[in-house]
Amino acid sequence: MTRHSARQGARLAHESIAFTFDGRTIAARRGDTAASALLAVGVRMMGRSVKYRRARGVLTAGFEEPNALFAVGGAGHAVPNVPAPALAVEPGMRITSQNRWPTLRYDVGALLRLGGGFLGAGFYYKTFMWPSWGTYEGLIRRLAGLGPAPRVSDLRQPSVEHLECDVLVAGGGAAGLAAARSAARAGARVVLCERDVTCGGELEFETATIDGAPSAAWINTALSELHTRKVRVLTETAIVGGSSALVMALTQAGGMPASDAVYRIRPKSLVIAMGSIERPIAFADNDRPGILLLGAAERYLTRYGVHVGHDVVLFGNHDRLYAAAGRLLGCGVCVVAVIDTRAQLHAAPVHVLRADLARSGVNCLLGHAVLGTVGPRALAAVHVAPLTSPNSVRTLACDALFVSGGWSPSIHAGLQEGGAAAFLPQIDSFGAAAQPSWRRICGAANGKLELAEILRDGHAAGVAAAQAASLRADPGAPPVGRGDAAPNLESFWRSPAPLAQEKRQFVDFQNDVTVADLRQAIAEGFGQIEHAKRYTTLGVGTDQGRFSSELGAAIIGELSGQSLPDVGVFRTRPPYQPVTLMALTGHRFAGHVQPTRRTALHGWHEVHGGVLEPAGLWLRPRYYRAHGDDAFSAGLIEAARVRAQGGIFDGSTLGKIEVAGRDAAAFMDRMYLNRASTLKIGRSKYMVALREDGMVLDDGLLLRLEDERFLATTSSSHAQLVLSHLELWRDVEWARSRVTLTDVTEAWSVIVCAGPQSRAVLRDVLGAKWSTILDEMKHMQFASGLWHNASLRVLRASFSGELAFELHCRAQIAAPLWQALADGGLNPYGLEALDILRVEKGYLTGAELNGETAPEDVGFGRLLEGDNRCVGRDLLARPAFSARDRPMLVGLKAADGSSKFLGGAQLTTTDDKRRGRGHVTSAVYSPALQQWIGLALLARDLARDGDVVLARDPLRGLETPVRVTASVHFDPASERMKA
Amino acid sequence: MSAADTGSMATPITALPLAACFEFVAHPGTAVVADAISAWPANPGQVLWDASGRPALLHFAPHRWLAPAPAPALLRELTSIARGGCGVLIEVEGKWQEVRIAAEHARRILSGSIGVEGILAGRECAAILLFDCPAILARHDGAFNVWIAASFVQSLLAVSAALPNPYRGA
Repeated sequence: MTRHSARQGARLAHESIAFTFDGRTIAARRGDTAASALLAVGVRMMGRSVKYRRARGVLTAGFEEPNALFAVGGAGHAVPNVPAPALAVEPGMRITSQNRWPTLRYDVGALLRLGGGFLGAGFYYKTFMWPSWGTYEGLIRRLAGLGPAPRVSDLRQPSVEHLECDVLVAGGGAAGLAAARSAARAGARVVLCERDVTCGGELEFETATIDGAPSAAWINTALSELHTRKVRVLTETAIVGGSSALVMALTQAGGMPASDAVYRIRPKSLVIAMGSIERPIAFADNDRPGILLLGAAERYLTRYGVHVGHDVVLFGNHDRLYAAAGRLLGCGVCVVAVIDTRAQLHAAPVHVLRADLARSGVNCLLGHAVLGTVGPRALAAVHVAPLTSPNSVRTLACDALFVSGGWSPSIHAGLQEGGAAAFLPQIDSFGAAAQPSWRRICGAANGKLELAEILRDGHAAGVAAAQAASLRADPGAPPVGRGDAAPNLESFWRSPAPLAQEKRQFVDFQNDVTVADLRQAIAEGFGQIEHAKRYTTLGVGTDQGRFSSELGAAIIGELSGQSLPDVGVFRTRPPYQPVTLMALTGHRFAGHVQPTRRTALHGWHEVHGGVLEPAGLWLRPRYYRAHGDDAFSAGLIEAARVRAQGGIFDGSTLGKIEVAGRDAAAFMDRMYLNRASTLKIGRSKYMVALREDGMVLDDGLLLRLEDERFLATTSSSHAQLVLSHLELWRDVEWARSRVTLTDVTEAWSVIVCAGPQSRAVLRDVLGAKWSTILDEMKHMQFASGLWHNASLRVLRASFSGELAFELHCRAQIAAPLWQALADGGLNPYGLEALDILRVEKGYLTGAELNGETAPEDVGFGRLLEGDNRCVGRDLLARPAFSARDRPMLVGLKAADGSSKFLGGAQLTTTDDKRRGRGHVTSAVYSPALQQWIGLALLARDLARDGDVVLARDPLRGLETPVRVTASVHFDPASERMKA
Repeated sequence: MSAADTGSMATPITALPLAACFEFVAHPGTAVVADAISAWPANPGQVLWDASGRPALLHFAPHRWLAPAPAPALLRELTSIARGGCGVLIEVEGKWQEVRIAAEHARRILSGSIGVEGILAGRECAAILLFDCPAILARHDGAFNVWIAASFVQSLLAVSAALPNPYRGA
């Protein structure tokens, strides 16, 4: 390993920093990832596998890492499953390995390996059935899964940005840069997302020239041109999902999901240039620490100056092994051998490379394969044999093995919407099948593996994407590149092995899926690729099968006698890489999960001790602290004061819809059970609206403001529902009618003045010109005028059973008017008191009008006496509405006059407690009656005055005999209201 | 947590005082005869701008116009048009409250909730949900005017105050 202070890497700064890994302080350099820093100090073992707890080291140099996943942060709020190769270390960062106890080196769970022979695919399904799954669930859940979810989240709120562009390029490698450049030259507004910290991709280590210049220089030139052309280049930003109209990209600075930025991008064209993913090869014990993908080893060397091993072996099935071996030698790495599965080489240049390597003492073995590896916790040697004679094994001592089984185009992000994969025989892999017109795949993601064709393909994709957006300026010539020659890949997926060793030939590293598991899946009828995935957990980890899908498919093909194209690959799903739930919240975070609505009097309530609680989106005062320490005691006092003197209530949340136009009256006749057209100007009426199915939709008052203008009030929670209902019928059934519907809820604050002193206080507050009006105003009449030069409408109506007035006023005078009324002696009351008052009077809310009640159920029968033909009326004749067990509204009182019962309690007979016959919709303690009272929906055959039923409330430990009464408990003649 | 802790901005959005406000609603299928208004915003998304560049009449939804703080002459014209029978003029003071977004932050803040360019493509105003709050958005010469349903204003201000640092960028 390389001493960290001596390392020379393209991404390293001079600054030395330190972090902790499992409590051990690790020296690193600014720019290091957790993986590179640990490798640099000789740490090979970075995790354990989920199932068998096998020691694992880092396999890759990117986000796809299946093995080295860390928890980052302090205990309790550590972010789990952060891939070590992507995690930029910061001074003082606390990193912990996962899937081990008590330590990474000594893990009790590793004893599971002793049972490796029987912990195969489907083991859990078959084994833990007796006496029940629940017996084992707790233990298995503790053992299963990756890192633990944090108990406390201190992740920051993500920033969200909506972007529009002509062309979105996903990937900033050679193809992506070429595509972005040509699209920008053609005149397109371009956004480029690159998930690494810099653009360039493989060019970072591949020896290449572009347009005659070293590739690094070309990258800088291209980026400079993109900057000049105002291309938005988002680094550390990955495309994680999307639909046809919207692509979601996520920035995770330093690979750490702590300060995410989310981009919601609507491009006219999308170019996917996300490169390819190097494939592993299955051989016995191919998971030991020290075994890496070849490309990863080169990245660690060039980016971070880390020599992953002193004595390394390269193993693969293509020409690029030799170029890579040459580069490693050039960097001072001792290359012990190049193991090539191919029997012979075809391209002349590679012969030269091979000869050079041989002269340098590298053992280049053709037609050989690595059959197995040796080493207790890290690699110590490999077993190599000719493929034609697998028993002729020889052992090569080495401390690192770099594997390359070819490349799979990274098409997953492009197929999330349901596109199909198509087999590309030239690279023995799957690419994307036909794409929609707005999406293009280019470069290595399109199966191109030579730099020259990658650049041409990227350039062409950029031009085509711009043209799709009708942008046709001259894109210039495509860049000309010279890099590694064609790899001349020959298919090789796994080394020969006896059956007993197949359970150590790992296909999916994260989930410990082996060749033996796939063989078992096939034997048990789960050979179809999607079945095998679910049966074995192949490809269900954080990498979503990007390593294992093709390897698994190829081995299933081999074991079942099918070709790889016939087996196919399983479907990929978003997100493309792990996304924290926090990143999905956007601004809907902490107290902003949904917006809240406030009345114009909200500030007054806050200042005066109003305890504000959500009611739908509204924040409404439940009670005022000055009246009691809790809702119950304060509510009793507030309700009693309303009956004794009077009170004021903020009713601004009532829905208010202005209905206007020549046909307004006729329209409202159709929409309400009782007629609107007979209402006189200056009068109001209690109205009930039905749904099409005859159920009560809502109730409220209708005020006739002018001949062709009404104001319909709705319950607070149903305002939008009623408006939508009216709009639907107006637009669909009576589209030619001249009726306008306008929500004016916020345009009118509503102050309810209730109680015997309300009129007197109002006279004082509103002034002399209102006195006569107030004195002469009859129940359900209203008058309009001004107060302090602002519009005021006074309506005499009551939801408390008391003499009461609703003051509809503009927001600017709501607070001074309220204050004047309070100064005049009317105490504020909240929802708790309102509920007491209305239950005493048998008035209904959503608890009773719950969408399942018809007019007859809740005592609106008299409204049916007219002949008004309205929406929903025809279906009221259904026999079910008069069935003997259909619930109807009744009142309830505790049978003993004192016991408590609560809303939600089930109603049963005393001799059949198991059969619910209704439920208590509302229950309160009545200060006026000095006992618990309620409203209920009770089966008609039990709804006889004086009968006793049981209010059963087992969750709250209550079972109260209650007597059925009339629904109006207090002042049945409404004498107080008419006073 | 303090604003410094979260990296949030201080009051990027401020609410303006409530002002007189009207909605003109036309009956569907009825041509609005508005000869007296030379630049009547006949199509949804169009805006009639006053001499100072302020939106005077916004056709923010089909058959529905907003007249924020209308000049007396415009109010007379709208009243006259309504009397002609093609629609209704409704005073909605208190329903919509204008908010001011610091000019340098406006585009970035809006793009935290909506795709501004997509929504305003080919139009000058639109009815939107801004951070889940009903709103009307208008744009003129790169500057934005925003009205929020009044009961949602405080909620919007709270959301905007908690927006993370990247929203500072233009």
